Amino acid sequence: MMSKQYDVVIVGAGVAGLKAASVLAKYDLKIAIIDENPSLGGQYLRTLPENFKDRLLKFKTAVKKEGLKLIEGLKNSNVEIIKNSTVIGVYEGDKILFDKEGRSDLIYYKKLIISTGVREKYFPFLGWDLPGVFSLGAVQVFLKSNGVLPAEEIVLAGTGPFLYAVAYEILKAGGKVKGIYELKKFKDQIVFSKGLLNFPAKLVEAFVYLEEILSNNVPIKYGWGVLKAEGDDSVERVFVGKMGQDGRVIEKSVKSIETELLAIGFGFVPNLEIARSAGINIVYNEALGGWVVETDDKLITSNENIYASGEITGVGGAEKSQIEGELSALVLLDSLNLLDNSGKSKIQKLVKKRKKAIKYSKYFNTVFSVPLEFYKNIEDNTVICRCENISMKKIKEAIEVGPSDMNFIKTFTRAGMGNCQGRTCGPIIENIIKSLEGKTPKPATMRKPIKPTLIGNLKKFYEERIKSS
Amino acid sequence: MKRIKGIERKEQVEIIVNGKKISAYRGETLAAALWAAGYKRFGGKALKGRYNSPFCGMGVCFECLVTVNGVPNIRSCMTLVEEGMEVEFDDE
Repeated sequence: MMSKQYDVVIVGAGVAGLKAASVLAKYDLKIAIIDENPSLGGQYLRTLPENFKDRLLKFKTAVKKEGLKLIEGLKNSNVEIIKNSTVIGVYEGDKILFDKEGRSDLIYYKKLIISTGVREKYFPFLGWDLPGVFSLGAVQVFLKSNGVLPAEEIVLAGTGPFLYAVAYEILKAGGKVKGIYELKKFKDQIVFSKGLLNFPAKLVEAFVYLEEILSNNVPIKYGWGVLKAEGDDSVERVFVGKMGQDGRVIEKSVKSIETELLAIGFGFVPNLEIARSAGINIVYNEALGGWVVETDDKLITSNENIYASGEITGVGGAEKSQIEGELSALVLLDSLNLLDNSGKSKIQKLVKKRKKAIKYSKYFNTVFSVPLEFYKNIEDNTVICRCENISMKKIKEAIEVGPSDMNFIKTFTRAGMGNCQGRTCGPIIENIIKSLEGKTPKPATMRKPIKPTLIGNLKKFYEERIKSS
Repeated sequence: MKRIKGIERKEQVEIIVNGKKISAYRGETLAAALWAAGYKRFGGKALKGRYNSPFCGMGVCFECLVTVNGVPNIRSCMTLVEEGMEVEFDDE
C-alpha cells in the first residue's frame, strides 16, 4: 500500500467519528476513517460478529440504533475505512503513522477530526492486578463483541451508571450478578437526577436497566467499596465493605464473597494521546472529566486544521458524542466554503444542543467521581502501576522527595514506563498527587510512538519506501 | 461453558495454543477465545510475581500480550482468531 493523501482523516470510529464521517460522505471529498479495532463502532456500538446470529433481545437507545445504521451506510460510501490500525503518532501537521496487521504505513491529511473517546479510570485496591479482575468495559467487550460470558457469577464494583448497564447485560446473557457495590452514597447521587432531566432518553435507559436488576434480586450497596481481591494465581474471593470518610473500608463492615470474576470501573478519562501527539492544547476541567482537548464552541482546537469531537472534549456520553460528530463535520465543511445557509444554521442549533449535553456531563463527572481524599489513603502495598509493578509506597516516596511532577515520578519510580505508557496508572497518580499536595500536575510528556510498535514493522515500511522512490 | 447460549455461531476454527489444539469461532478475539477455553494466565509471573491476564479488554492495558505465529507482544484482545493460528505464552 502506498501512502495516501486525504482531504479529511477521522481518527476513531466510535459514535462521534462515525457521525462526522456520515455527514462528510455527502460531499465530494476524499475521506478516510482510521480505527484500532477489528470492527467499526468504538466502545458504545459494539455488536456480535456478522457471522453470529443473535437471538438475545437487546435494548437499544436511539443513539445506538442510529449509530448502527451509520456503520451500514459507511460500508457503501466513498469513505475509506482503515480498520485494525493503531496510530503511532501524528507528525508535522500533515501525516499519521500507524500500524496495520504487522506493517507500518503513513497517510496524509489536510483536515483532521480526532474522536478517540475514553478509557476507564480506576481506584486501586489490593489484588486489583490479579487475573479475574476485569474492567467493566472488558466484560462488555466479551459479552457484546464475542458472545462470551467471562464467568457465570460476577461481582461489580466502582462508581457510576455504567455499573447498571453492565449488570443488565450480564443478566440478559444468562449470568448472575452477585452484587453491585457503588462507592458513592445514595444521598450524594440524588443531584444526578437533575442531570438526567437534560436527557430524558437517559432516564428511560436507567429504568430499563434497573427493572432487570431489581427483578433479579441483585444486591446493591451504596457507599461500599472493595477492600481486596484474593486467590491463588487468580481471583477466588473479594472482600467488600462500607467506605469510611477517609476512603478506607470500615473493618467491621467487611464481608467476603466467593467469585471468579470482579469487574471494576470508576468513570472515564479521555484518550488524549493522539491529540497530544499532534501538538494541540489540552486543558484541565474537573466538570468535564479532567484533562480534555481545548476547543472553542465549534470544536476547533488550537490548530485550525484539527477538530476534536466526542468524549475527548469532555466526558459526557454517546448523545454528546453524536452531537459533536455532526458539529465538527459541519464546521469543517464551512471552513471549505461548502455549506449552504441551512447548513450554517444547523451549526448554531448544534452549538446550543451541545451546551445542554455539557450540563449533563458536569453532573456525571462530579457526582460519580471518587472523592479526592480517598487517594492519599490507598494501602502502601497496593500496586499503582500494573505494568512495572510499582506500589503506592514507592509513589508516595517519590512525591515526598521530589517535585510533584508526573515526569519526575515516572523517572524516579518507572511508573508509567511500561507497555501501556501510563494510560492506566497516569490518572491514578495524578489524583494521588492532587490528594496529597492539592494541585493538579500536568500529564507526563507525550512521546512517540504513542503505542508500542515493532521496530521491524517500521523498518520494512521505510525499506519499501526507499526502494520505490 | 462460557459461550452464551442462544447465539448461533458459524465457522468454527482451530487454533494452536502452546502446542495444544483448541476450537474457537471466527469473529471472536483471541483473548475471548482463550478465556472461554479456560486460560487465565498470560505470562509475567517470573517478572512481577503474578500473572498477566486480560484487564481492559480494549487495547489499552497491554496485559493480554501473547506471541502469535512467532510475533511477540500481540494484544490478544485486538486480534481476531484465524484457522491454524499458533499462539504461545507462558502459563506455567
